[in-house]
Amino acid sequence: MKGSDPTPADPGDELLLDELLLDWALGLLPAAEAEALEARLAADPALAARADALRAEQAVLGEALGAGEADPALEARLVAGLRAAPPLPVERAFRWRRWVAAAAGVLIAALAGARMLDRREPPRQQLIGHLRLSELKAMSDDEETP
Amino acid sequence: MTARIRDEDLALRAADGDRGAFEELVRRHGRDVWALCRRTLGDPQEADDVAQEALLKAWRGLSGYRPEGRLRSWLLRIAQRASIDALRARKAWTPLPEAGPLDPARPPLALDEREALGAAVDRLNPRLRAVLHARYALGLSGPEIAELLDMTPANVRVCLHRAIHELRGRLT
Repeated sequence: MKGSDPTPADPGDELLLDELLLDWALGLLPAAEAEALEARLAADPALAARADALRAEQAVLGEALGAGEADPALEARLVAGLRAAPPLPVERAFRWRRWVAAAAGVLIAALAGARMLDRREPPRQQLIGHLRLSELKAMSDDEETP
Repeated sequence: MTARIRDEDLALRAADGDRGAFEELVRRHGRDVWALCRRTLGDPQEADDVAQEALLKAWRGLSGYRPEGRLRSWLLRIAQRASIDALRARKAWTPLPEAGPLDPARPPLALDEREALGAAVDRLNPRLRAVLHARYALGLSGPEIAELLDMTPANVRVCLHRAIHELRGRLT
Protein backbone atom coordinates (compact mmCIF):
# COMPACT_ATOMS: atom_id res chain seq x y z
CA MET A 1 0.00 0.00 0.00
CA LYS A 2 2.99 2.29 0.43
CA GLY A 3 3.11 5.10 -2.13
CA SER A 4 0.50 3.50 -4.39
CA ASP A 5 -2.50 5.12 -6.06
CA PRO A 6 -4.71 6.61 -3.29
CA THR A 7 -7.98 5.82 -5.03
CA PRO A 8 -8.34 2.05 -5.42
CA ALA A 9 -10.88 0.81 -7.87
CA ASP A 10 -12.02 -2.63 -6.71
CA PRO A 11 -13.72 -3.53 -3.37
CA GLY A 12 -10.73 -5.60 -2.23
CA ASP A 13 -8.49 -2.58 -2.47
CA GLU A 14 -11.17 -0.51 -0.77
CA LEU A 15 -11.18 -2.95 2.13
CA LEU A 16 -7.39 -2.86 2.38
CA LEU A 17 -7.41 0.90 2.35
CA ASP A 18 -10.07 0.96 5.07
CA GLU A 19 -7.90 -1.35 7.22
CA LEU A 20 -4.85 0.78 6.57
CA LEU A 21 -6.72 3.92 7.59
CA LEU A 22 -8.00 2.20 10.72
CA ASP A 23 -4.46 1.09 11.60
CA TRP A 24 -3.39 4.69 11.17
CA ALA A 25 -6.23 5.99 13.36
CA LEU A 26 -5.37 3.39 16.00
CA GLY A 27 -1.73 4.45 15.94
CA LEU A 28 -0.64 0.96 14.91
CA LEU A 29 1.22 1.90 11.74
CA PRO A 30 5.02 2.03 11.85
CA ALA A 31 6.30 5.61 11.58
CA ALA A 32 7.47 5.32 7.95
CA GLU A 33 4.12 3.90 6.78
CA ALA A 34 2.21 6.51 8.75
CA GLU A 35 4.23 9.29 7.08
CA ALA A 36 3.61 7.82 3.63
CA LEU A 37 -0.12 7.62 4.32
CA GLU A 38 -0.23 11.17 5.67
CA ALA A 39 1.41 12.37 2.46
CA ARG A 40 -1.39 10.67 0.53
CA LEU A 41 -4.02 12.22 2.80
CA ALA A 42 -2.60 15.65 2.14
CA ALA A 43 -3.01 15.09 -1.58
CA ASP A 44 -6.47 13.46 -1.53
CA PRO A 45 -9.32 15.39 0.18
CA ALA A 46 -11.77 12.46 -0.10
CA LEU A 47 -9.33 10.11 1.60
CA ALA A 48 -8.56 12.79 4.19
CA ALA A 49 -12.29 13.05 4.99
CA ARG A 50 -12.45 9.28 5.59
CA ALA A 51 -9.40 9.51 7.81
CA ASP A 52 -10.97 12.37 9.79
CA ALA A 53 -14.11 10.31 10.37
CA LEU A 54 -11.99 7.43 11.69
CA ARG A 55 -10.10 9.76 13.98
CA ALA A 56 -13.41 11.12 15.27
CA GLU A 57 -14.54 7.52 15.87
CA GLN A 58 -11.45 6.96 18.01
CA ALA A 59 -12.39 10.00 20.08
CA VAL A 60 -15.93 8.64 20.53
CA LEU A 61 -14.59 5.26 21.65
CA GLY A 62 -12.12 6.91 23.99
CA GLU A 63 -14.82 9.05 25.54
CA ALA A 64 -17.34 6.23 25.88
CA LEU A 65 -14.98 3.57 27.18
CA GLY A 66 -12.36 5.69 28.87
CA ALA A 67 -14.45 7.08 31.69
CA GLY A 68 -14.36 4.84 34.73
CA GLU A 69 -17.57 4.11 36.56
CA ALA A 70 -17.99 6.63 39.32
CA ASP A 71 -17.81 4.83 42.63
CA PRO A 72 -16.00 6.99 45.17
CA ALA A 73 -15.99 4.18 47.73
CA LEU A 74 -14.23 1.68 45.46
CA GLU A 75 -10.69 2.06 46.83
CA ALA A 76 -11.94 2.02 50.43
CA ARG A 77 -13.90 -1.17 49.69
CA LEU A 78 -10.86 -2.87 48.15
CA VAL A 79 -8.63 -1.86 51.07
CA ALA A 80 -11.27 -3.07 53.56
CA GLY A 81 -11.38 -6.43 51.76
CA LEU A 82 -7.62 -6.68 52.00
CA ARG A 83 -7.71 -5.89 55.72
CA ALA A 84 -10.28 -8.62 56.27
CA ALA A 85 -7.91 -11.21 54.80
CA PRO A 86 -5.86 -13.25 57.28
CA PRO A 87 -2.26 -12.10 57.72
CA LEU A 88 0.25 -13.67 55.38
CA PRO A 89 3.37 -15.51 56.63
CA VAL A 90 5.55 -12.68 55.34
CA GLU A 91 3.44 -10.19 57.27
CA ARG A 92 3.73 -12.24 60.46
CA ALA A 93 7.50 -12.35 59.91
CA PHE A 94 7.45 -8.58 59.37
CA ARG A 95 5.61 -8.07 62.68
CA TRP A 96 7.98 -10.46 64.43
CA ARG A 97 10.97 -8.61 63.00
CA ARG A 98 9.50 -5.31 64.17
CA TRP A 99 9.18 -6.71 67.71
CA VAL A 100 12.76 -8.00 67.57
CA ALA A 101 13.97 -4.62 66.29
CA ALA A 102 12.08 -2.83 69.09
CA ALA A 103 13.46 -5.23 71.70
CA ALA A 104 16.97 -4.83 70.31
CA GLY A 105 16.54 -1.05 70.54
CA VAL A 106 15.50 -1.25 74.17
CA LEU A 107 18.40 -3.57 74.95
CA ILE A 108 20.93 -1.30 73.24
CA ALA A 109 19.52 1.72 75.09
CA ALA A 110 19.74 -0.14 78.39
CA LEU A 111 23.32 -1.22 77.72
CA ALA A 112 24.30 2.30 76.69
CA GLY A 113 22.69 3.69 79.86
CA ALA A 114 24.44 1.16 82.04
CA ARG A 115 27.73 1.98 80.37
CA MET A 116 27.22 5.68 81.02
CA LEU A 117 26.48 4.99 84.67
CA ASP A 118 29.51 2.76 84.76
CA ARG A 119 31.69 5.58 83.46
CA ARG A 120 30.47 7.80 86.27
CA GLU A 121 31.40 5.15 88.86
CA PRO A 122 35.23 5.48 88.99
CA PRO A 123 35.33 8.87 90.77
CA ARG A 124 32.92 7.57 93.43
CA GLN A 125 34.89 4.39 93.83
CA GLN A 126 38.12 6.31 93.82
CA LEU A 127 36.74 8.53 96.57
CA ILE A 128 35.66 5.53 98.59
CA GLY A 129 39.05 3.99 97.96
CA HIS A 130 40.76 7.15 99.12
CA LEU A 131 38.58 7.26 102.22
CA ARG A 132 39.36 3.63 102.98
CA LEU A 133 43.09 4.26 102.49
CA SER A 134 42.90 7.28 104.76
CA GLU A 135 41.08 5.19 107.37
CA LEU A 136 43.67 2.40 107.14
CA LYS A 137 46.48 4.91 107.35
CA ALA A 138 44.89 6.52 110.38
CA MET A 139 44.46 3.12 112.01
CA SER A 140 48.07 2.16 111.30
CA ASP A 141 49.21 5.55 112.65
CA ASP A 142 47.19 4.88 115.82
CA GLU A 143 48.76 1.45 116.19
CA GLU A 144 52.25 2.84 115.76
CA THR A 145 51.66 5.53 118.35
CA PRO A 146 52.82 4.18 121.74
CA MET B 1 6.58 19.09 50.21
CA THR B 2 6.95 15.32 50.54
CA ALA B 3 8.01 13.31 47.50
CA ARG B 4 5.61 10.63 46.34
CA ILE B 5 7.04 7.20 47.03
CA ARG B 6 7.54 5.19 43.84
CA ASP B 7 5.26 2.23 43.25
CA GLU B 8 8.24 -0.07 43.00
CA ASP B 9 9.57 1.05 46.42
CA LEU B 10 6.15 0.54 47.97
CA ALA B 11 6.09 -2.93 46.42
CA LEU B 12 9.45 -3.78 47.98
CA ARG B 13 8.20 -2.62 51.37
CA ALA B 14 5.01 -4.60 50.91
CA ALA B 15 7.03 -7.67 49.91
CA ASP B 16 8.77 -7.27 53.25
CA GLY B 17 5.39 -7.55 54.97
CA ASP B 18 4.32 -3.91 55.23
CA ARG B 19 0.57 -4.11 54.62
CA GLY B 20 0.22 -0.32 54.74
CA ALA B 21 2.51 -0.03 51.71
CA PHE B 22 0.36 -2.48 49.79
CA GLU B 23 -2.80 -0.61 50.77
CA GLU B 24 -1.30 2.52 49.26
CA LEU B 25 -0.73 0.60 46.01
CA VAL B 26 -4.36 -0.51 46.10
CA ARG B 27 -5.45 3.12 46.50
CA ARG B 28 -3.33 4.06 43.49
CA HIS B 29 -4.21 1.23 41.12
CA GLY B 30 -7.27 -0.53 42.54
CA ARG B 31 -9.61 1.41 40.26
CA ASP B 32 -7.73 0.28 37.12
CA VAL B 33 -7.69 -3.31 38.39
CA TRP B 34 -11.42 -3.21 39.07
CA ALA B 35 -12.23 -1.56 35.73
CA LEU B 36 -10.30 -4.20 33.79
CA CYS B 37 -12.17 -6.96 35.67
CA ARG B 38 -15.45 -5.14 35.12
CA ARG B 39 -14.94 -4.79 31.38
CA THR B 40 -13.66 -8.35 30.90
CA LEU B 41 -16.37 -9.94 33.03
CA GLY B 42 -19.20 -7.61 32.05
CA ASP B 43 -20.63 -7.63 35.58
CA PRO B 44 -19.83 -5.04 38.28
CA GLN B 45 -20.67 -7.36 41.20
CA GLU B 46 -18.43 -10.13 39.93
CA ALA B 47 -15.75 -7.53 39.19
CA ASP B 48 -15.73 -6.62 42.90
CA ASP B 49 -14.98 -10.20 43.91
CA VAL B 50 -12.46 -10.90 41.17
CA ALA B 51 -10.61 -7.60 41.67
CA GLN B 52 -10.39 -8.37 45.39
CA GLU B 53 -9.13 -11.85 44.66
CA ALA B 54 -6.58 -10.48 42.15
CA LEU B 55 -5.27 -7.97 44.69
CA LEU B 56 -4.91 -10.69 47.29
CA LYS B 57 -3.04 -12.83 44.75
CA ALA B 58 -0.75 -9.89 44.07
CA TRP B 59 -0.19 -9.38 47.80
CA ARG B 60 0.65 -13.05 48.24
CA GLY B 61 2.84 -13.08 45.15
CA LEU B 62 4.85 -9.93 45.80
CA SER B 63 8.01 -11.98 46.33
CA GLY B 64 7.76 -12.85 42.62
CA TYR B 65 7.56 -9.22 41.51
CA ARG B 66 10.71 -7.83 39.88
CA PRO B 67 11.12 -4.05 40.32
CA GLU B 68 12.40 -3.61 36.75
CA GLY B 69 8.84 -4.12 35.43
CA ARG B 70 6.12 -1.54 35.97
CA LEU B 71 4.02 -2.42 38.95
CA ARG B 72 0.76 -1.25 37.37
CA SER B 73 1.26 -3.61 34.41
CA TRP B 74 2.06 -6.46 36.78
CA LEU B 75 -1.12 -5.84 38.80
CA LEU B 76 -3.20 -5.57 35.63
CA ARG B 77 -1.85 -8.86 34.28
CA ILE B 78 -2.84 -10.58 37.53
CA ALA B 79 -6.31 -8.99 37.29
CA GLN B 80 -6.66 -10.08 33.69
CA ARG B 81 -5.71 -13.68 34.49
CA ALA B 82 -8.11 -13.72 37.44
CA SER B 83 -10.90 -12.44 35.16
CA ILE B 84 -10.16 -15.08 32.53
CA ASP B 85 -10.17 -17.78 35.23
CA ALA B 86 -13.56 -16.52 36.40
CA LEU B 87 -14.90 -16.58 32.83
CA ARG B 88 -13.51 -20.09 32.30
CA ALA B 89 -15.18 -21.23 35.53
CA ARG B 90 -18.54 -20.23 34.09
CA LYS B 91 -17.50 -21.44 30.63
CA ALA B 92 -17.78 -17.96 29.18
CA TRP B 93 -14.19 -17.65 27.97
CA THR B 94 -14.75 -18.80 24.45
CA PRO B 95 -12.52 -18.50 21.39
CA LEU B 96 -13.31 -15.72 18.98
CA PRO B 97 -15.93 -16.87 16.49
CA GLU B 98 -15.01 -16.99 12.83
CA ALA B 99 -14.77 -13.49 11.51
CA GLY B 100 -17.45 -12.49 9.06
CA PRO B 101 -16.59 -10.31 6.10
CA LEU B 102 -15.69 -6.76 7.05
CA ASP B 103 -17.92 -4.16 5.54
CA PRO B 104 -15.99 -0.99 4.79
CA ALA B 105 -19.20 0.63 3.69
CA ARG B 106 -20.41 0.82 7.29
CA PRO B 107 -19.81 4.33 8.54
CA PRO B 108 -17.53 4.91 11.52
CA LEU B 109 -19.14 5.35 14.94
CA ALA B 110 -20.36 8.85 15.59
CA LEU B 111 -20.74 11.01 18.68
CA ASP B 112 -24.48 10.32 19.11
CA GLU B 113 -23.73 6.61 19.54
CA ARG B 114 -21.57 7.27 22.59
CA GLU B 115 -24.34 6.47 25.10
CA ALA B 116 -25.15 3.11 23.53
CA LEU B 117 -21.52 2.07 23.17
CA GLY B 118 -21.01 0.81 26.72
CA ALA B 119 -23.89 -1.67 26.46
CA ALA B 120 -22.80 -2.73 22.97
CA VAL B 121 -19.28 -3.42 24.22
CA ASP B 122 -20.68 -5.59 27.03
CA ARG B 123 -22.25 -7.84 24.39
CA LEU B 124 -18.94 -8.46 22.61
CA ASN B 125 -16.76 -11.52 23.09
CA PRO B 126 -14.75 -11.09 26.36
CA ARG B 127 -11.43 -11.08 24.46
CA LEU B 128 -12.60 -8.20 22.32
CA ARG B 129 -13.89 -6.39 25.42
CA ALA B 130 -10.53 -6.81 27.14
CA VAL B 131 -8.63 -5.46 24.13
CA LEU B 132 -10.96 -2.47 23.81
CA HIS B 133 -10.65 -1.72 27.50
CA ALA B 134 -6.85 -1.93 27.39
CA ARG B 135 -6.81 0.42 24.41
CA TYR B 136 -9.36 3.04 25.42
CA ALA B 137 -9.64 2.91 29.21
CA LEU B 138 -6.04 2.10 30.05
CA GLY B 139 -4.61 3.94 27.05
CA LEU B 140 -2.13 1.17 26.23
CA SER B 141 -0.27 0.87 22.94
CA GLY B 142 -0.48 -2.22 20.72
CA PRO B 143 2.67 -3.88 22.15
CA GLU B 144 1.56 -3.05 25.72
CA ILE B 145 -1.86 -4.61 25.11
CA ALA B 146 -0.14 -7.68 23.68
CA GLU B 147 1.97 -8.00 26.81
CA LEU B 148 -0.96 -7.47 29.15
CA LEU B 149 -3.23 -9.96 27.45
CA ASP B 150 -0.61 -12.54 26.41
CA MET B 151 -1.30 -11.99 22.73
CA THR B 152 0.84 -11.18 19.73
CA PRO B 153 0.72 -7.59 18.42
CA ALA B 154 -0.80 -8.98 15.21
CA ASN B 155 -3.64 -10.55 17.23
CA VAL B 156 -4.19 -7.30 19.08
CA ARG B 157 -4.57 -5.53 15.73
CA VAL B 158 -7.03 -8.14 14.48
CA CYS B 159 -9.07 -7.91 17.71
CA LEU B 160 -9.19 -4.11 17.61
CA HIS B 161 -10.36 -4.16 13.99
CA ARG B 162 -12.97 -6.82 14.69
CA ALA B 163 -14.25 -5.11 17.80
CA ILE B 164 -14.68 -1.81 15.99
CA HIS B 165 -16.35 -3.45 12.99
CA GLU B 166 -18.71 -5.39 15.28
CA LEU B 167 -19.62 -2.22 17.15
CA ARG B 168 -20.27 -0.42 13.90
CA GLY B 169 -22.46 -3.31 12.80
CA ARG B 170 -24.50 -3.19 16.00
CA LEU B 171 -24.85 0.55 16.26
CA THR B 172 -24.94 2.04 12.80
